[in-house]
Amino acid sequence: MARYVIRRSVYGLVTVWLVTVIVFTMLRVLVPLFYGDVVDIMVGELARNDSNLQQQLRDEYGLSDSVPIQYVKWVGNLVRGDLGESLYTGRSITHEMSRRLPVSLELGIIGLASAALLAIPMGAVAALMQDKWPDYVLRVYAIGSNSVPGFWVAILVITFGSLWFRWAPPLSFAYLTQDPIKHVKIMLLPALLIGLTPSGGLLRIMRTQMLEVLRQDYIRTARAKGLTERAVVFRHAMRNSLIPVVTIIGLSVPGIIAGTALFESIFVLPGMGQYLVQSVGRLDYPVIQGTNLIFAILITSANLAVDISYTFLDPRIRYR
Amino acid sequence: MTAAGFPIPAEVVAVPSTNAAVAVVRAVGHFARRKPLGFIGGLLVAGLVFTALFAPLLAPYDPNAIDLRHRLEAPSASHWLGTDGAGHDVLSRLIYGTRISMTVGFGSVLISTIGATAIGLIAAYIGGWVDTAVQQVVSAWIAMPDLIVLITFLGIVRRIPDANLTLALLLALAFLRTAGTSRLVRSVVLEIRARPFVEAAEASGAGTPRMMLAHVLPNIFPILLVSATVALPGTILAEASLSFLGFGPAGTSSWGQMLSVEGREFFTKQWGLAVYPGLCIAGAVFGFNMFGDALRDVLDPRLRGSR
Repeated sequence: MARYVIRRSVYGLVTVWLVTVIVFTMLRVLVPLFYGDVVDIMVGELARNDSNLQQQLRDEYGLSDSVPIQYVKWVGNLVRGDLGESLYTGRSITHEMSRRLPVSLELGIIGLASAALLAIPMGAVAALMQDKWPDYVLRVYAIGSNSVPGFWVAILVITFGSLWFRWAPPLSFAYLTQDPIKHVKIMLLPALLIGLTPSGGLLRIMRTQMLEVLRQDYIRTARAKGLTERAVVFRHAMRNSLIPVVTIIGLSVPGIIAGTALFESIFVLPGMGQYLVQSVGRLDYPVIQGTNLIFAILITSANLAVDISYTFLDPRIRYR
Repeated sequence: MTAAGFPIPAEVVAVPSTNAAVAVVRAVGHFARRKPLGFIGGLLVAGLVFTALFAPLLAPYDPNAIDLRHRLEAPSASHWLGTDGAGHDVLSRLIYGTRISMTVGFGSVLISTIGATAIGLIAAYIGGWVDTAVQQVVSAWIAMPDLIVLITFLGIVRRIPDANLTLALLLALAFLRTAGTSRLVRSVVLEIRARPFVEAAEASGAGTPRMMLAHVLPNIFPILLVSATVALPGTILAEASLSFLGFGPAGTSSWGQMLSVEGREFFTKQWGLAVYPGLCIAGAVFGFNMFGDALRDVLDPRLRGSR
């Protein structure tokens, strides 16, 4: 088991390395090939013909070197914990992220945790009471939360909040350490809205799996040998239903990240997603690379956790 | 196989008798009685597909016709859902938006399901170093941050003259869904392989291709269907979200774009602009969810036997 975890972690590192290479290549080779590089966007119409200025900027940003050398330099700085500086603001990316990452993590973790904690028991109850009224109510909830896009709910809250109650989301942000009450007021709505969409899908998968498992022979055996209903449900049915559910939870991490990007841009929250969306539009190379590195590490860790959790949930699956 | 016991194939497979129409009507009627919500979902899906196919006949106005004298009008007899900030007829734009939504949704889910099944089944079934190598590629694939892949890809395609951005979005979404779905297929195949009937089939001499196609594939079909059902609304949402963020096909009447551009700017003057496109997205996702759910209950062989 320990060997398996170590080997998978090494694979995880390879994955993250591949992602950095792909993003680096897309940004610095592919986009300039079809369109132009960051300096073209930066100088815009004003200095389109001023090749001296453009050359000067490229030298300053280290874009005159060949792409492999640029990559080696970037990795070299990365090893020392330096992600570089934004080409536009000149601010240190590492410093910027130390303020932005906690905001996004808070949004994502609260969202995913509330989704899973609600969806798993609700899915199990729906399956146990199939075609009775609790099943219908829960399925309506699943369908509803899955059908109504979170960002539309946010738009509706803002629209009718301002039309009927003259309420608008706060425009300025407050960190937990600065003003805890204001912080909760700002973060609670977007965090819960992020969890809304995945909760419906989780509930559906949990219900489907429970229905399948409840019809297996070993459940009949468990009941026949006189186990209490509680033991049948919790120890046999739910545990065996959780494998695809855990997969879906792990797989919803990228969706949660996309969700943080959407809600950070709607509610003007200074998180990682907003940082990425801002910098993609203007091809701020170091920022895009840095944010993608962090996202890739988060997603790879989630996948690793999913694979390791299989062995705990289903002893028939063994890794060497 | 009677129409009453197995209604769906009766609609799909042409019955070579003069009673075909009667059989189809009877099958649909049976489906409607047994799964009323699924039937409503099916009607919504049919309506959306119909709207997408016949958009030019249904839309009262050209969706891109600008009429600056009639900006931000309330719903009226001539503009049923009013007009937006450029004087476009909102209803016509919503009708054309259906086309983008349906094309992207159906196309990307179909392509990715085929790809994911092939990858997941082969990797889990063969196992060994093949599985290790495939999972390594899949991990990198999954870890590719969707947002930047889509945004960068669409950013490049946008620069190519006459590029079909809807097709680009469709292929990009299919590409991104394939990896994750292949993981799900793999995990289910691993679980099925541990079941005794697989051992029995292997012991009776079934070869690997036969095992995969005749024994394992039918058993993962329900999960594939549920996963495609969960994904179809997901891709519709993804298209809407990307358009909402401003990275969708520009200059079209995509629902997400309408919500973001017109809805967020003019909601204080015409709140409908922040409501109708969202209703369309939610309605489409709802219809596909309900229809898929009912379809699953009908198609799953194990669940069918128990009723």
